[in-house]
Amino acid sequence: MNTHQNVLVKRNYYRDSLELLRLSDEIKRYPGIIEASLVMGTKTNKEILIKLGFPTHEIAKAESSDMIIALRAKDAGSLIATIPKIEAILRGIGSEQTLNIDHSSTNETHDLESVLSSFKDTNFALISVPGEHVRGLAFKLIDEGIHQQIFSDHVSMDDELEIKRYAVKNRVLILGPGAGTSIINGRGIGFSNAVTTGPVAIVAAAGTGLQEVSTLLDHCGIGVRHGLGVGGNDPKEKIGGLMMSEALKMLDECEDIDVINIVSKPPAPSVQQKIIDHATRHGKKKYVMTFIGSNAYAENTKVKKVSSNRRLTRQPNKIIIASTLTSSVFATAKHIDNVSKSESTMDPIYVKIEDLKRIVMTERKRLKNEQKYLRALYTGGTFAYETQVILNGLAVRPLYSNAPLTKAQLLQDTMRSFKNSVIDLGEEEFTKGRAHPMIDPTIRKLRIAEEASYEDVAVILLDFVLGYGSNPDPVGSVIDEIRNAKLIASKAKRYLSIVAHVCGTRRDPQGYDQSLTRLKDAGVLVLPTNAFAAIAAAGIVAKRHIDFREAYSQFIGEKHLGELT
Amino acid sequence: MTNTQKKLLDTDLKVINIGMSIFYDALKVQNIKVVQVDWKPGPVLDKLSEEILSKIM
Repeated sequence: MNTHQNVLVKRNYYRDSLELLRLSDEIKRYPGIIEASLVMGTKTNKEILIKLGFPTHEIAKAESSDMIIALRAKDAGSLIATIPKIEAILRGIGSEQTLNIDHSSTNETHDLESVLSSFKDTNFALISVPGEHVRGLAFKLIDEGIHQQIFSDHVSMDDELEIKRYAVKNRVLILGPGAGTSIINGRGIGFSNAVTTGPVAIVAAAGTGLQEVSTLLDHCGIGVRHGLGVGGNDPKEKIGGLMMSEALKMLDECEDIDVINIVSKPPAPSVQQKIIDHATRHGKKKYVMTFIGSNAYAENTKVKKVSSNRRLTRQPNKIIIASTLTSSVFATAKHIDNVSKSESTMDPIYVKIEDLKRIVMTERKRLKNEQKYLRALYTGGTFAYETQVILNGLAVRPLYSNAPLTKAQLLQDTMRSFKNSVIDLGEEEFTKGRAHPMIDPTIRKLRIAEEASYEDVAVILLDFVLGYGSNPDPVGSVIDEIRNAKLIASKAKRYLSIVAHVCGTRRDPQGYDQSLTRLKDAGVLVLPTNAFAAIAAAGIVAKRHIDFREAYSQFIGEKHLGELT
Repeated sequence: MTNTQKKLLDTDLKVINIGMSIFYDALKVQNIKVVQVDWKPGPVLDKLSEEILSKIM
């Protein structure tokens, strides 16, 4: 089919990535339009446009401060008719005053100063502006005594440290930078799920980790009252766990909390010691310390056992260590059962060893000998990390990632997978100038089709994150690409295994059960947690059969024995 | 816990959303009091210029 396309560059013309995504989606529905991409001219966006088939020389002219309008139409008439419409919409957006004041406030004002003076008793700010503009805003809000969740990436660690030190001095909580998820009094902020409120609090330096633990607890009938996402840098040496410590102190004072679950990649040794010291010496609650992949980390970095670790092992009824998000949920349930003298049901999120083994063997049998590799395309960064921990533990090699556990596993070209690859699509190289992949499926759609076309690929592993703030239909937005991937493989006379897990609850707006059904109907193997999905994917591609009992012992926890560490 | 901290955990949320409107919508759906600030990027200053400017303003 002959198509007509055009690329326009508007110099120094800023719109936020979400406005542009919505506009692109709207324009795609115009008569005769096949593809419409309105994006800022960042490196990633330019690469995506080239992958979409737009001319390189036109795109190359754009700078990151410029907007690119790339259109493809069935005929010249549709193309010509659409361009002035876009210009008109952009002019409309440009003049639109988007300040909406609701509830108690009556004065419609447009700048932060007047909002602060008219919107009294504000106790929280959610910031998602480009990172280079965060510092000034954060200091101003700290001066007003307003707690903050900073979703923005690209904030320097120097700035983060200064902001957090100033916040500690003023007893203000700073969640982030890079914190997409929080729950306060059962209400979700940013990317969050509709979970039951209950006796658990979570302090997380891993956003989708917080979502996974809170949703899995919800499936087991255990509620979460607070979930404070402190940002991935907080447990690093430089930041020193400043906000993790503040959050722990605050939550320790909450009477309606019985269990505090700390979810993070393994913190810097000094931060880990600080957390353990707090829990063992001063802590008033029961704790789960979910340091994802902590066993592997300790082996790799040869962390010496500190005195606090010895104290830790002497308090098994107070503190449980977990190394995956799934085992973290079982550990939390164990504490809750001890407090409430009850027995939680873990069945909704558990897959029996023999069942998983059978599923994996069925998939393996359908593959050709040359199909050897796994390609994980994640929207959730914590899932990408946890999966690498599991794949490394189960000796799936060679393994590469754009966000690797070790430098040796760094993927050279993030736009192209190599052998076994785990791609975190939420990493900064993919999000500069475009919406997070939990909202914008464009890059993953392209990657699914690409991975399916390689004859050595056996498995595509996916996550779907439901909840507030996410795409209105995460499964629906890529289901055609999933079906097409299966079709590409079947036309080439091979079977492609697609494994997925859905992070969400039955009260999330996107519909948990419908999401599962649509995936299963498309031939996707759906597992209840990311850890189970990763073990299944490992079992399908592993050169030798994996030891499922050992895998469960390391990454799931012996549910029935209650021994998790 | 200080009064500022109690204000967060013991009272209803009242949120200023600065940035992506999808988060504003998500808060409104949960009946959380929220105000959207119409934010557009200003110039990015280096730290020294920022400090000088903050002293003279």
